[in-house]
Amino acid sequence: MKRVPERAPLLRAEEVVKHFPAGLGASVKAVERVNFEIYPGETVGLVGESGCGKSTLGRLITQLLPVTSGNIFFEGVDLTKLSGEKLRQKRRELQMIFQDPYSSLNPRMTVGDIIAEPLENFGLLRGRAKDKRVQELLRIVGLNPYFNNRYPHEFSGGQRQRIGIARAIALRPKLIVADEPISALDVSIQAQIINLMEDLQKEFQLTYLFIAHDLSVVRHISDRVMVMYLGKIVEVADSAEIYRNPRHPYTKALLSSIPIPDPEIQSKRRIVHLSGEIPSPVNPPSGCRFHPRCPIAQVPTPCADLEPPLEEKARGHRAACHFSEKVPVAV
Amino acid sequence: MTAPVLQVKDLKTQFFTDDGVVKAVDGVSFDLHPGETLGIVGESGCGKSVTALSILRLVQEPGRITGGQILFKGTDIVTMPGDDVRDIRGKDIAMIFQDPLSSLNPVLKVGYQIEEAMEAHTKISGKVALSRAVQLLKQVRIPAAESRVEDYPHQFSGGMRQRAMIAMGLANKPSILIADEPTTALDVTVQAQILELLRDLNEETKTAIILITHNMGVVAGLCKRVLVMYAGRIVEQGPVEQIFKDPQHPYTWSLLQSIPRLDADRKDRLLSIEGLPPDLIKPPRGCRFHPRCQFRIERCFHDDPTLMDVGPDQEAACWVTMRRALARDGEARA
Amino acid sequence: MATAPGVATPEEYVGDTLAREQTSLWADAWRRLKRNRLALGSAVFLVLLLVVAIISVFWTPYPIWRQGVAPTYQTPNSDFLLGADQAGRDILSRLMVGAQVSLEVGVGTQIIVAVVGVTIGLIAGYFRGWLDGIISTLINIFYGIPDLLVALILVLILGRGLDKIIFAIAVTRWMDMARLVRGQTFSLREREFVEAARASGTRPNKILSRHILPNALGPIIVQATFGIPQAILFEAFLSFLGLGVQPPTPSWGAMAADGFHAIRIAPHIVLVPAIALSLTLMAFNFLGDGLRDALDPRQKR
Repeated sequence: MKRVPERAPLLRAEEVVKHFPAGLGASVKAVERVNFEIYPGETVGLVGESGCGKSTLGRLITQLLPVTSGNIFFEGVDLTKLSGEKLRQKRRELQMIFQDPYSSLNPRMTVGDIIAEPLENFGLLRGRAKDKRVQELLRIVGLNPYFNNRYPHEFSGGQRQRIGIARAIALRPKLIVADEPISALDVSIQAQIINLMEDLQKEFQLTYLFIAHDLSVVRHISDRVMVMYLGKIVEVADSAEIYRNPRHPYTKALLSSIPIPDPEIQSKRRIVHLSGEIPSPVNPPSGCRFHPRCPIAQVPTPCADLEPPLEEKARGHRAACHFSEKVPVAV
Repeated sequence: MTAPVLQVKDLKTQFFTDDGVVKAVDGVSFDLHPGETLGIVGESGCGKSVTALSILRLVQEPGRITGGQILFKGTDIVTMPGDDVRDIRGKDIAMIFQDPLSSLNPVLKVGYQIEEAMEAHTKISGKVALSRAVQLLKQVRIPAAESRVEDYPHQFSGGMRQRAMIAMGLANKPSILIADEPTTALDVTVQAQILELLRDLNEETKTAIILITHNMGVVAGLCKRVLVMYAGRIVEQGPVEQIFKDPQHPYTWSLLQSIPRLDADRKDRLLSIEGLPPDLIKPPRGCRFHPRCQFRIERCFHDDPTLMDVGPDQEAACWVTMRRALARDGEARA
Repeated sequence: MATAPGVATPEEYVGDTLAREQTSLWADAWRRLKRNRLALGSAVFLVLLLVVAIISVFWTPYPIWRQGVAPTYQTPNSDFLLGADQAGRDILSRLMVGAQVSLEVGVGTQIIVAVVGVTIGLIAGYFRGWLDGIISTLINIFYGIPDLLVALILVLILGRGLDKIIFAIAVTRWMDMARLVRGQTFSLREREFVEAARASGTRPNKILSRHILPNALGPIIVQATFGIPQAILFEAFLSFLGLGVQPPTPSWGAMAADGFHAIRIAPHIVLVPAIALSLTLMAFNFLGDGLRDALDPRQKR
């Protein structure tokens, strides 16, 4: 394991809340009192289904969205208190890779200009030195350096994602938030991008927050996994542990739902049925937000009226469930 | 074995674009037996969806079926008059799509749309149609079906809309249901439920299912037989267990190796298939996969392989096959 | 080969083959515009009109202000190709100079409209909040006041010079552009490439100039093209009412007004400028349609 828990965290989120106004005084509670740490050099996976708030959380960390309340400490500095030029300077260390390789590159700019932009923003390199650096970055991500005068639409999805990665590493950041970086790509291309991200991590000592909906991909790339449901983190554990020993019934349901490409195993698996659908984040359920769909919930007490805290159930394994010991083991 | 309900023979579908002729489907042949579950897997642009659309003659301009036969119970759909094809659509062969929201009319009640699907092909009274719609919604496990028929599509969640689409597809008891990426737009927990539903319905109604998907895991869970497509061709086909356990085409093998598996321990690297799928306006000479194949031999560069028997009921279009490739690698290592 | 590591050695870039080779999106749009015959024909017509207007600065068949160069109400003949008006002035000469006026009014107002509308729209759309509130209210107020009233008042206050007329029309016409750019900016600002620019520390002025404006330029060009005939028509209308450019500078609207009382005996005095006006308006509209089709990425195969 790459993780060295004794070290100070690179990033620490404390009671982070994000509400979006939804008209008529209502609000979408996209992220609700979330706490976690990311340590230097590790990859933390963030999984959850659509609308669980994982992408919003990623944008809060990179300060593309302001928090409603709470604090995000990056190397001890509270990002939520920064603005203007101070925040802009911090962005050098915090980069993002986006989901859609088609809309994340400006169609009117050449690939060279796209990758050079972060360098220009901080006046790091000029003229020939800048061009050389851009070509070097293209080579690092496996693209022909002489394509720097080409436009994004001349590239395939996988190639475009490599351009996005080159842009993200141009400033040699410490933390990269990757928001579903492979979900728009074809299966055979996904592995290329995952491998590239892993290689770059080793080469440049990067720390990743890897956001995805596919738990099997997240498990492959991550040291630790956080599971989100309806704006809350419900479970955090090492990626091997979370698979072997899930302590939250939602994690268990997610695991059982992911198809395994093996007909023999697949025919023997039983999926955990969740009743109903994900409730609206405008009016999340009382108590444990998962209780209306939970197969082991005890209603009304404690599940419907007492919110379970995210607490340590085993060493390095936290879960937010009143009955975490009842979650069946093995998938 | 019973006679196949659908036989596709050397199907060719091409798109006549400004840049040239895209050979989207280039000589695809397969049989579908009554009650069978057949998966067609491949990446975007491999021709799997165009194959499905061709079966119902739904290919849009500038695309055209340019060759081959599609025999439904012995009659060729390709040469059939338009009216007869319309009769088959929705009645004998139904199709559901990736995005259930855009397939449903937002201003009509879900129940009404199901009734409409029935009335397009059979004359039935409104009352019968309504009770049948309720029954269909129950069959696709929509709770409180009696009141839900009165709902509009926007009142349904994504998963329920796809269930409603399946109900509509089943309305006329078709012999074939074609599902084109039916779970791609859905969350995993919902996907699992829809797949379970399709599996149950296949057993209950004996409707044959053609499942088009890019997800190997989805095929493993639902299908008995699978076709792997690459660049407009079938490169491997056979029983699901066989293909997953002992893939013989390097493309199938690489695809399976490149997906991170939930049940596998974390390993250092995924196998990745380098390069890009070929341009179907001018596909590469020889085997279409050879530019990306790590097991290619000299012959692959100029000689185009056809499907050959590689195991019991299993065919692959490859001069090398994984059995030989892996043995060769073993020798080289030793 | 298939297991090549992600960090490629120089001889095995995965990006060595381009998915599709193409020039910039602008060149692509130009290629599509060239295929649109109606738009291309209109463009040729407008270029010819421009040439005529430029020639008229230096030369016209007859001096445009001199009366009695021809018999009054002269119908078209070989000396006076388009005839003469009620004061015996050569209509062709006046039409040529009128083209100059029309084009200056059309293009002039649209330049002002573009500068003002784009700036205001970008600011409102990007910074949103109270700035957007003020600007949106302003736009709605201007929409609320009848444009003819505004123009008339301005012309009465400022006088009837060509520059003043252009200014007066621009004041009544900037809102469409501002609203369009505001909407474009609104949606472009949410696109991931703008987020990416923000994430990599790009300053707002650069985000607006490098990321948002170039991507909104297509619709802006289309809007400006459609705006030109509107302005020309508005000027013609003002001139028809006798509130356009100061006589004796001929404007198509004023020429039509001059001939109006004699429409029964000499219809050509009205018809000639009216047809010129119609053809010009049509050409701009066809060109606008063509540009929209060419620049709209959704039209892409």
